[in-house]
Amino acid sequence: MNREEILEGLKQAVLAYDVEGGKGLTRQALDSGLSPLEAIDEGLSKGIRIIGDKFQTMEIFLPELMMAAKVFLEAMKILEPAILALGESRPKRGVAVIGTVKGDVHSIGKDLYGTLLKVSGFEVHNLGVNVHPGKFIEKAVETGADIVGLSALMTTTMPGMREVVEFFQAKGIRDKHTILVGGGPVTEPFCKKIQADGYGETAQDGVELASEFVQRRRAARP
Amino acid sequence: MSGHLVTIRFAPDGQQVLVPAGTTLLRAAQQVGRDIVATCGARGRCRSCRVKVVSGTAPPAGLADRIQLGEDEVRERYRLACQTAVADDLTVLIAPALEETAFQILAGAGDLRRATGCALDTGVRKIFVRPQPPSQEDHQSSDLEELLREVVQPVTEVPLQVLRTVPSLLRSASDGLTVTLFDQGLLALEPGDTRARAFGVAFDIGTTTVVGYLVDLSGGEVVGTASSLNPQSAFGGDLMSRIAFAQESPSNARQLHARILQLLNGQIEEICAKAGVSRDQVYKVVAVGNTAMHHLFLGIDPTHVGQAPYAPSVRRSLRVTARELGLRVHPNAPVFLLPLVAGFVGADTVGMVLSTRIYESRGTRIAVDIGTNGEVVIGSRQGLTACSAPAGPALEGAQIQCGMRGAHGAIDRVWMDRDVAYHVIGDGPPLGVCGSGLLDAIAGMLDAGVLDASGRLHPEPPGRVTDGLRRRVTALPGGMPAFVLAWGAETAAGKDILLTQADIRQVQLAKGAIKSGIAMLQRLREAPDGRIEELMLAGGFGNYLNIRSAIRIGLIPSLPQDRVSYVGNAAALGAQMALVSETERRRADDLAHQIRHISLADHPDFQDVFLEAVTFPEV
Repeated sequence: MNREEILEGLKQAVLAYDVEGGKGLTRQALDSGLSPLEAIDEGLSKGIRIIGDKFQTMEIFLPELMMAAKVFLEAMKILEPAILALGESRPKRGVAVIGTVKGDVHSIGKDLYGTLLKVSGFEVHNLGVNVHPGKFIEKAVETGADIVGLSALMTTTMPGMREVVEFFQAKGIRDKHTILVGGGPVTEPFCKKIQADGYGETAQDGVELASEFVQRRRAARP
Repeated sequence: MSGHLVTIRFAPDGQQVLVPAGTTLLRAAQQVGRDIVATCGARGRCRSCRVKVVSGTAPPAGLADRIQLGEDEVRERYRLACQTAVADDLTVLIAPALEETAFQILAGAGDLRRATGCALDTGVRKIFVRPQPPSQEDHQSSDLEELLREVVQPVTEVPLQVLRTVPSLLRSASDGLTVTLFDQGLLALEPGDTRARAFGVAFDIGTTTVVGYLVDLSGGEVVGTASSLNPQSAFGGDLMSRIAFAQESPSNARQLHARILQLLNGQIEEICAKAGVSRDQVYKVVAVGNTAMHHLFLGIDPTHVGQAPYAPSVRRSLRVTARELGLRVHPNAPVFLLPLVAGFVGADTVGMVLSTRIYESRGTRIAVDIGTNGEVVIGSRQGLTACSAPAGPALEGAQIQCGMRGAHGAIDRVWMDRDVAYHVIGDGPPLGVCGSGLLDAIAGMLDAGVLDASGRLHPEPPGRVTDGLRRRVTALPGGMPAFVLAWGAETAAGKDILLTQADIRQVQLAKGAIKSGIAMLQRLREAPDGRIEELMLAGGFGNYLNIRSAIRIGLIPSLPQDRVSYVGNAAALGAQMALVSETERRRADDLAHQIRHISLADHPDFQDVFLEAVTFPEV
């Protein structure tokens, strides 16, 4: 297999949700001297982008999205030591702190978001469910998070999102972090009302928003 | 612009309301008691409150109007009532009008004892007596003592209101008196012999539908039923948006309480009048409902039910008097609320357990209430486990492009062969598709190959798909694939009734919630499909779905069809059993203690089980 065939194979493994095939090709890539970063950027990530688009148009659904992400993450487990060994690091897109707000214990959507963020190059700190506003602040400050992602799956727990935004304001660090909101009952007008920075209807929307905001922040920085 | 008053008329009867400019159409409708269903809680997230502006200038459409209704309907002057603020005089048609939704009712009448096999033991006893007032001054006695001497049964409680009537009734009733007892309490005193007249009412207070049953306590027969939409729907169709409304302010919670009470009193009046029964001869009431409905009925703030850990304010069964609650039956009548298990496993589930008798089963059985906030109970006489399985409103037709309730005009059955055939409730032209039709259609599309197991609707169907079905595969303006269930020429609105790729994804999420609830309980009880003796479908929707379709799409496990059964409105039946049998009512208390509640969200396996349940089974 030449370089092109391996990279195409990695992309196809993601598209075919083939974990074992993906792992095999990843090893093959390293054995044949391919740079691990190239395997990601020119192979796996291309597949993930196509998957993301298909999810947006609803051609595929949650289970397929998760399976594709799994191919990527399993391949990463093999690639990460190789990246470290080379003394390189995968360029980090940004740092994200995510969690489901106080009073709400739903995790599936939020975890999916975390996985997709990871896949697109974010360093992700997942605080879990029923997270107190103070926890978000603590972790965001500690990690210098670009993005704070809030999830709520119930109409009754959405006010918890406003609380988090207010906590950041009260601490005087509101402009240091981008706060994104998402989850079943959340809407764009609600996001505006509580003065969060952005709303993603789907997890994929949320990832694109996060990337945009990070780019904007980087550009605005002197 | 704002400040002046405008007149809103509601077609077809022309009822008017004068409101300040800037008021939403939904608010205006509520002010004159016109119920518009706002399923999403007036947040512009669904289509349920849409109205058509039939005269006057249609207010400009907002973003939510465009998203929910589409450009075509916006051009045809449809608007979301919750989002549309009025600026000028208007006439609007509520569509589909609540009055038109002659939805299917699960309110079978008949002999309860035959249906449930429970003995008549209502706790209400009527005793005919001919007491005399005290006659000799030197006897230490009183009116009450003379009366109770005749009653013979021990009586420990006499309400003041009854006591006040004793002196005159004792002296005026030449034809004797009828004493009504409940337990050892004196409930009522009536002149003459009224022993044959004793009634009770059972209520099933659902989030969507409220059903009341008038039961003859002397024979255990259902003599009247009433069914209505829950009027709280105007403040949010699903449970969570209703709790959110209540938590906004105490006056909102009071409003919800007042609405339900008003409806129950209306039902009491209606069924009693139809059956020729005096409301004062209704001596016992039993109510079931989910935790939020239970709390709102009692006037208890349900806020905390909406936040983890979803704790109810009270779980044990309750006995209050009709007078305290403001329920217009005999003021001293006891009103019983069956106990709750957890925040999302309420008295309705206890009613279902009671009436399905799952607690005495030798083999493992499953009872499923399929609904927006569904519940699953699994078990046998070895013990019971329950969880909530919230399907969301998709199976009731909400958040589905051409979806509607199982009302007049809904496609409720679909068959696919070389082409599509369907049945419409009321046999007229179709207006939309309801949950059971949705399930049939998806099952048919899976069988035909139009839809694959991942839920993808192929723009180019595989070769084996017949021409008749192939030409029904189309694309929406944005490119999203859709399937034409009924051609425009056949429908009431003259427009195609479609099933879109997004609709199918909504159904996948809904059925994934139910199926994963069942699968998780099976896993925890180590009861694979082969060991399930029976799966019972309960609740409004459960009784209309086609079992073959439900299995085909993987809403329920793939059991042989003869092991799946319909059990009707099991929660309501449980309430009726507790009404006619004190033994059953007390049993409900024991059962509530025995049921083990599992929170699925906390379980580490849940995500995988859920994602698996979202896909359709391969044949």
